[in-house]
Amino acid sequence: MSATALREKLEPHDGFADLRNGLRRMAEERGDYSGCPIPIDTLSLVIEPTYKYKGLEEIGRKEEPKVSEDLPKIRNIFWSNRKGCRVAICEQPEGEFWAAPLIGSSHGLVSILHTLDASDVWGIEQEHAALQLLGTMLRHRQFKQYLLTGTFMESSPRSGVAYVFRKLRPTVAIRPYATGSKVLCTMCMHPIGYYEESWAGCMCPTDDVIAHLALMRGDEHMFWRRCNQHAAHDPSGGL
Amino acid sequence: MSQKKVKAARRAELRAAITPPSRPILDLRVLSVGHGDMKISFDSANPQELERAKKVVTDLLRQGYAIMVEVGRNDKGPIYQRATGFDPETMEYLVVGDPPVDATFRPPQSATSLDAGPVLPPSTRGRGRPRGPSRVPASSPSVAVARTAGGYDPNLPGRIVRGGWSRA
Repeated sequence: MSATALREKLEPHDGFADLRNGLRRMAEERGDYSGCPIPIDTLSLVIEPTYKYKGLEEIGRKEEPKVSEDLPKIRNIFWSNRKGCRVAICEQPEGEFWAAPLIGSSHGLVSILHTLDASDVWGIEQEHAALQLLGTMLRHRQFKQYLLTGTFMESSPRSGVAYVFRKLRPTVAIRPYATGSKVLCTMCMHPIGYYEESWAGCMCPTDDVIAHLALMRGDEHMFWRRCNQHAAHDPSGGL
Repeated sequence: MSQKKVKAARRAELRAAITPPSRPILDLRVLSVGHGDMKISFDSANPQELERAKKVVTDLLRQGYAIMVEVGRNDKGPIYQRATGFDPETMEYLVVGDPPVDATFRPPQSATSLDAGPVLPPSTRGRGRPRGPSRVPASSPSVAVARTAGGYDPNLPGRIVRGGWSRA
């Protein structure tokens, strides 16, 4: 089936198709190769600071409450396994430090639901094109694994680190040893931008996987530099 | 038309059909929101497209795109390297060094990793003469990835406060 025929069949069922096509045409006219991210009213969009559509971040963003100077300042936040929640290290204006457990979930369900919300903006046509490209970059077994499970694995010949690439989840970096293996961290990165509190990027899911894979193969240092690294036990890592 | 002429005409048609298409001067896929991936391919048979191809690659590199070029293949699949420059005169990407297959790179220590693994013995070989950039023709398959925004990190102070907090 040709791309046009596929589009004609699918688009009547997709409420975002008109907006997506309009933004694509606009980006083409303006010569933007990576296109224009699509804002959603229920999720905040975070765009790379130098990208030209940075202003789209303001759509749907809730106004942050003003923080008084008398309130303690948050100096650090981390996931605590013992408490089963995130813990903030706060500093009082007088200089006293104390730890505060933050209200939040100890699982990734919120991120899963937000990712489902964000999935409205992606099109099947775009995902289909990305899958075709990924198919040219992988071996048959890896591509089959990806189609069937959304996951495939590849080791870096440079560092020996094994990476588990996952659709809509951060990539897992594993260091294999003779006696076993250890999860180093999970790595989160999206080209152009992403939707906050979700695992969704502006591009379709397989495009994110291609970006991870291409950077890992082409420049592993840059891949590590560009990724946010989550602890293996942190729910935001999606393990 | 004589039988001979008909056969000759058919042979010419067949030859034209099986003649390989002219080589693309650029085979670049740009990851894109609206297209999934946008194939940018210019034909060497059309000299007017050469200037456009040069402009596209130079623009992408100037805008901070990471262009991963296929520099070879092994049994595990294609080998990619990042292009650090582009020579519009010769239509070649500049990539630094050969595909490195060594164990000298160690991933940076994240806050989570407790063990860096066994320490590698120091190399007995010197660094040698620094290699200049090697050149890869722009017709090699390549993937361009836009600047990246990292990912959602709930551990950044100032983001999660929306949910409120209580004293321990």
